[in-house]
Formats: sequence, structure tokens, C-alpha cells
Amino acid sequence: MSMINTERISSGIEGIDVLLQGGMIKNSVNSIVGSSGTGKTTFALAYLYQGLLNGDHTLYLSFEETPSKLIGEAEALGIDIRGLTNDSEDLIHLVESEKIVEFMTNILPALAQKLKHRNVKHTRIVLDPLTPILWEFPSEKEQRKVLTKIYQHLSSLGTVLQTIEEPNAFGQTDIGATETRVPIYLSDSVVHIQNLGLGGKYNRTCKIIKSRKTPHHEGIYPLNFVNGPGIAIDTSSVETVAMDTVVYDIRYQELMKKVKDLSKDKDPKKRIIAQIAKNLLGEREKKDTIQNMELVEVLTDKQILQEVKK
Amino acid sequence: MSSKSGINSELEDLTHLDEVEASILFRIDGNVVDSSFKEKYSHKLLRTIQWCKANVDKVSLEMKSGNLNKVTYELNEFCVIFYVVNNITILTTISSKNANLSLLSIESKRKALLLVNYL
Ligand SMILES: Nc1ncnc2c1ncn2[C@@H]1O[C@H](COP(=O)(O)OP(=O)(O)OP(=O)(O)O)[C@@H](O)[C@H]1O
Ligand SMILES: [Mg+2]
Repeated sequence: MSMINTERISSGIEGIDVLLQGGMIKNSVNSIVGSSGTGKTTFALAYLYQGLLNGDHTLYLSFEETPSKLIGEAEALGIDIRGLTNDSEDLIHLVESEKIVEFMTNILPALAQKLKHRNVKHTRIVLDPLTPILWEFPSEKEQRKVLTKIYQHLSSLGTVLQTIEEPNAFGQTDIGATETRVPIYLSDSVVHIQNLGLGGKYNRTCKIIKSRKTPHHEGIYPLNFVNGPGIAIDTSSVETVAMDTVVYDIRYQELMKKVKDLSKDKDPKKRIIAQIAKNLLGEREKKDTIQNMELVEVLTDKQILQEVKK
Repeated sequence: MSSKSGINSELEDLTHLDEVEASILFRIDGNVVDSSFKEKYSHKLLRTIQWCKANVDKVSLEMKSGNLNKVTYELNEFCVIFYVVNNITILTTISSKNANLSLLSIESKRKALLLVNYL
């Protein structure tokens, strides 16, 4: 049963760790696939931010947007990257399209070697988006060869998150398209995000397409843009019977984070709620996650907040 | 009242009915004008909504050629009522399997007539 014992890192996105049974496997290659504007970059920025929180070394390679634009976008969603580091502009590297091949085949392997010698503990690597690299190698055979090599270098260095643009023709997206087949095939885990355009909680969704060494959840879950974490996946419909203790522990931690956020809220009533939640939780055994979870969920419920306000 | 929120409140009226899980105003090409859902999220319902979205163009073509105002589908888990609102929009009401369909048909018709005013 090595799947549970495999060392994992938090994705930084609420709900994803629940669906992946604890987060991403260390030194794996993970893909976020989605059409334009579905939230891939936001996802990647939240992953980067979690890395900064954990004290990981980070390497964010942007093939499209400038560092300052990305950091600005993150800030607009409450992901305060500048607040965590002094040299935020140094965090994200823009790789221009004409230098992509040179960068991926020569500079990156050299950089990987250098960091290894410096004994960096764990690195989070982001490739956002991978798509221009795919264009440089149009044949599948070549793509496979180049990507296998790149992933070998990168995953020896740390845990990779890459975003992949899903072709979108006349409003129909296609995750099985030839353009995306090779990187998806080579990834250890693939998360598919979609904008279904149905409105409400059925508007944006998230699904785990694959996840090696992990018994993952099969469902499609609502995805929301939220201020602070950037993106959150609502996994409250994950059936209780299918959940194990690992999942409860992650949920518990997420809920404690929620309480912590509430306790810092401008609204004094929310702070009171957080205090009540803390007091109640304090008297419980930490093992009792299911009950704790229910309790915090009740306490952070919008309607109950309204009631208390009255 | 703006037309958007007007439409939404009519749709919400429908989803407040016990048996109604979702009500969606579709353009006949499958685009959503507005929608309202029951509070609780459900994968099965999502599948049915996607089925509606994918088929609303064909259904509306059939309805036009047969000169029908209303079509009802009884699927495995849900019942779907399509009700013509005007030339380019269709009201879709998704209810639980055991819903009283004749009653819901009347409700759909009533809402369809109200919705025209906002379009
Ligand atoms: N608070 C919000 N509420 C709803 N949608 C939002 C919010 N914030 C951002 N968005 C949407 O998210 C999109 C940007 O997300 P992001 O840049 O992460 O997507 P992407 O998949 O990387 O897109 P691209 O294909 O442009 O790289 C915006 O276009 C906007 O529509
Ligand atoms: Mg992007």
C-alpha cells in the first residue's frame, strides 16, 4: 500500500488535496488542462504561493505573460505573493518563444544540475503554459522524446506543475485532441478544468482525469474563484463512505484555515464565530475529524452567519 | 428591474418547487441565458444538464417542425420538460423522477409566458 505512504505536497488549492488523497506526489509531473480563461494560471499561482509558504525553492517559467502582470493578477485574487518575498520579480521567469527550444534543451538541464549541487531540499516548478513548447515540436514522436527528457530533469529537481491549453473549436473543447495527447500521457496526474457556461455552481468545474498511484475521486466538482486562495474546489459532495482518514485530516486542516481566516476578518461578527468555533474545537480530540468538520461547516455557513448578525 | 434579474427570479420561482432540481433558459443553440438550481450540488444532475445543453438545438428543431410547444423526456434519474418561450429561447425544467408532470407542465407554461416579457 505504498500509495498512501508516498510523500505528498499540498497543491495550495482547496479541494484538490482532498481529491488527490493528500496532494501531489513529490517529484511527479502534474498537468492542469483547460481551455482559455478557465483558471490554469490562477491554479499555478496558488501552487507557487503554497510553495513560498512551505519554504520550498520555486521556479515559475512563464511562456506567455510577464512576471509583473502575473503577480498583479494573483494579487487581484488575494494571492499576496509580494507579501511573502522580497524579490517577487525574481520569482517568475519569462521565457520568450524564440528561446524556448534553447532554454528547454540546454539551459534547464544545466540549471537542474546546479540546483542539485546546491542541495536545495524541494523545488516547485511551474511551466505555464506548456503549449508553445508543443508547437516547437509538432510531431508526436519528437514531442515524446523532448518532453520525456525535460520531465526527467525537472522531476529529479522537484515537483512539476504544467498548464496545457485545451483546444476549443466552436465552443466544443476536446481533452483527447492530438495537440495535448503526449503531455497528458506523460503526466502522473491530470486535472481537467472547464467552463461549462451553465451558470451557478454548474458553471466552472474540475475533474481528476488521472492520478497515478492514487485512488482518486471520479466526480466533477464545482470550481470557484475566491479571494485569498484564488481558486477553490467544492468537494462537499464527495461521499462520506468513500473517504478515508487522510482525507478527513486534510479537510480538517482546510477548515482550521477557514476558521483562522474568519478570525482575521474585518467583520467583528465573523471573528466571534471564529472564536466560538475555536472554543468548541479546542475541547475535542483532534482525531474526531468528522464531527469537527460538521461543526465548522455549520459555523461557517452563510445562513447561520446571517442569523448571528440578527 | 433589469431583465436579467427578472428572468432569474422567475427561474428561481420554479426551483423553489420541491420537485424541481433546475430550471434553465436556453438559447436554441445551447447557450444559457440564465439558470437556477437547487442548493445541493449533484453530479447526476450535472450530467442531465449537459445532456439538455447538448440536445436543445435538436429538440427545438423537432418542436418547430412538429409545431409543438412542449416536449417531455423521462430519463433514468430525472424528467425534463422543454417549453418554447419564443423563436430563439426554450425553458427547460428538470425535475425528480416521481414529479407530478402535468402540474409542472402548467407551471412551465405559465413561466414561459412571463419570461417572454423580459426578452
Ligand atoms: N473573481 C472572479 N470571478 C470569476 N471569474 C474570474 C474571477 N477572477 C478571474 N476570473 C476569470 O478567470 C480568468 C483568468 O484566469 P486564468 O488566467 O487563471 O486562466 P487561464 O486558464 O490561465 O487563461 P489563459 O488561457 O488566458 O492562460 C479571467 O479571464 C476571468 O474570466
Ligand atoms: Mg494562463
